[in-house]
Amino acid sequence: MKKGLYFIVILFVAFSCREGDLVDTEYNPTPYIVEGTEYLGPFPVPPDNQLTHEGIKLGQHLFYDPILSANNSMSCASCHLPEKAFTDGNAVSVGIDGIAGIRSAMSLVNAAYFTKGLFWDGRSDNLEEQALLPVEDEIELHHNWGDVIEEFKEHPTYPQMFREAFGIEDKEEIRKELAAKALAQFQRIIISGNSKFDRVNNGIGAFNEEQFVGLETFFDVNPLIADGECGHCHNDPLFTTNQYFDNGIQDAKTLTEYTDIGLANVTNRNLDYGKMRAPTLRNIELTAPYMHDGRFQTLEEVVEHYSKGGHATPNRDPLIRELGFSEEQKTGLVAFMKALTDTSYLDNPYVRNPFK
Amino acid sequence: MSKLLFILLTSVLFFSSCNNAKTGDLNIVFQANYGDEVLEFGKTYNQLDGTAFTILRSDFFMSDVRMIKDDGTEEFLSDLEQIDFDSSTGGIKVSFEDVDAANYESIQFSIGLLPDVNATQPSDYDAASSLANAGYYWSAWDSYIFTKTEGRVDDGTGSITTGWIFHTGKDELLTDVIINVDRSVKGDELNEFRIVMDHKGLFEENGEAVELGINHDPSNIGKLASFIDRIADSFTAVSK
Ligand code: HEC
Ligand code: HEC
Repeated sequence: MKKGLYFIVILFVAFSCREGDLVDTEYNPTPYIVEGTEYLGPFPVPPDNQLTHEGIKLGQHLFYDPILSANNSMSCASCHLPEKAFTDGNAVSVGIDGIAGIRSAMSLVNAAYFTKGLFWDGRSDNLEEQALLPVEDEIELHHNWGDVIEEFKEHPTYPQMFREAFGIEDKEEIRKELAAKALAQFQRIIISGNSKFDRVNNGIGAFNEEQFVGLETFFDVNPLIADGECGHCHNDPLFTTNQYFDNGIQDAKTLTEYTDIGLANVTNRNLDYGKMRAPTLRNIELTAPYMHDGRFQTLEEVVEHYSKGGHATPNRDPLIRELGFSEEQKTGLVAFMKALTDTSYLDNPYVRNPFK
Repeated sequence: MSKLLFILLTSVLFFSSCNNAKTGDLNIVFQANYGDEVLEFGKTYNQLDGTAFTILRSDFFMSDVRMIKDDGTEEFLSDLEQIDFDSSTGGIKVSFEDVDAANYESIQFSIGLLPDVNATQPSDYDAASSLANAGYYWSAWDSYIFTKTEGRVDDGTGSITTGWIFHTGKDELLTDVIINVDRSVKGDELNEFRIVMDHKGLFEENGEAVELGINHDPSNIGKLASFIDRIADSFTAVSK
């Protein structure tokens, strides 16, 4: 008799296990409609990671939660601060152990459109793949996914949130790939397409004199003043073409003198030494210091660099040369770049820090 | 039993009648040359006047790609392709399926974008499209950039550090190309036509060296027009 009871208990446990401990939570994801992309156009979304409110909400929490770091001290948002257009204001980022990396944190605004490789050197293909990396990066979050997953399972709300986002039936099904998908969804909704530039393009308002000179220089519109050539690499609507260039900032006379070889890390080609992905200039006003190593403190310094043409490195792009801007053009370029600021994404409750 | 035989027979008949439609697959391989050699990006070449220069980029859009059969009829291949020589010395392959088996006298296309396509913008396209690439759109022209040819030149200092570029675009520069092939596409086979684009001629005009500078200004359209004409003249079909 007693044996029989045992058997029933075991059967019961086995059954409830098979049922999954999360099935009581409803799985009914709601598609998320992205707004503000009229001028930017559509962006690609992987078929197996469509945007849903539940997925984005999970990604948002993971992004701002220090649970992803070894000592619970840092989150993605420690280096990607929303108020700085998701950069950190440092020349190069410093991770949980106080060790500095070699590169500057990149803006995540409009990351959904960065389709030709992520990172300065393009070494990651897409946001799903990228999101797996910071957790185990030794100079970033320096944790390991095995432990993070265990912490998720013990967490009061994450198991339900994974269920709501991805339909898992049991917390044992929580995987790092699902966390990465959620982080990718969150990053895809950080959209900026409503700057002064966009409004003027839509017939609302007008550029002031300075901004107009800047625009003419930026897009080589006026044959009477020096071309800026900026638009070739930082073309609208994204203000990047997602391509890789050597813009002559490194003082390298030969290939071996590049301190950061950039794209060549990935391709191993001599012609790619020193090439970095041209970053978006949207919200550039908020993301100082500038360049992959944060070498320039101000936009004025950046413009000065382009005016002089930088160093004659082996792979310097043909467009980078002594352009000789007038003072008016220099102030104009800075004013024009400041007309690309738009932080309206912060009005989206899914983008802001949910723990505040 | 007889039923089975019937099915077998009809299916054999069916499949062989399919063969009668006679189409084959075709790869057109574009190969970048400099004179008789395969073009090497970054290698030093010399202009007619001895000026040393390098080539670092060469690409073009081709629209309305079609072939003309011996009997004068046309076989349409594609609305739009972008040939970006990048670093691949083996050539850029464009593949077409179900091309009529026939002898073809020429391949024809236009370098650039047809006006209705050129009236669109990168944000009208999904990121996977070659037309979504903002690096090939120039708002100051209201046009896509049809061709990009870039490199570096010795500006007299003895080192090849100064950049040169030719970017062409705008509707009026759309340029027709006719390449004589006289080759046949055989049915049920993977056929290959090879086209060489010889870059050497791009840098010579009327027996003189073309001045290498920054050329992407539509107010300078004459210079760009002769450049794209030379691109149009640079193609020849070769046997493998
Ligand atoms: C210690 C600081 C730090 C932390 C923490 C951090 N990042 Fe970053 N992030 C960077 C730096 C630095 C780069 C540029 C690295 C490079 O190019 O090598 C970067 C680049 C990126 C990029 C590429 C953007 C682009 O335009 O290519 C994405 C996406 C990104 N981070 C997302 C995240 C996510 C998601 C997390 C949390 C899981 C995270 N980051 C945590 C510093 C950090
Ligand atoms: C040949 C392509 C090219 C041209 C032309 C060009 N840039 Fe850049 N730009 C880049 C690349 C590549 C980087 C990143 C380089 C690095 O960090 O190593 C960059 C970086 C920048 C940055 C810093 C971005 C950041 O997030 O740190 C600013 C600002 C900028 N460019 C403005 C301009 C302006 C203004 C012009 C025209 C005067 C211009 N660029 C012309 C390719 C170009």
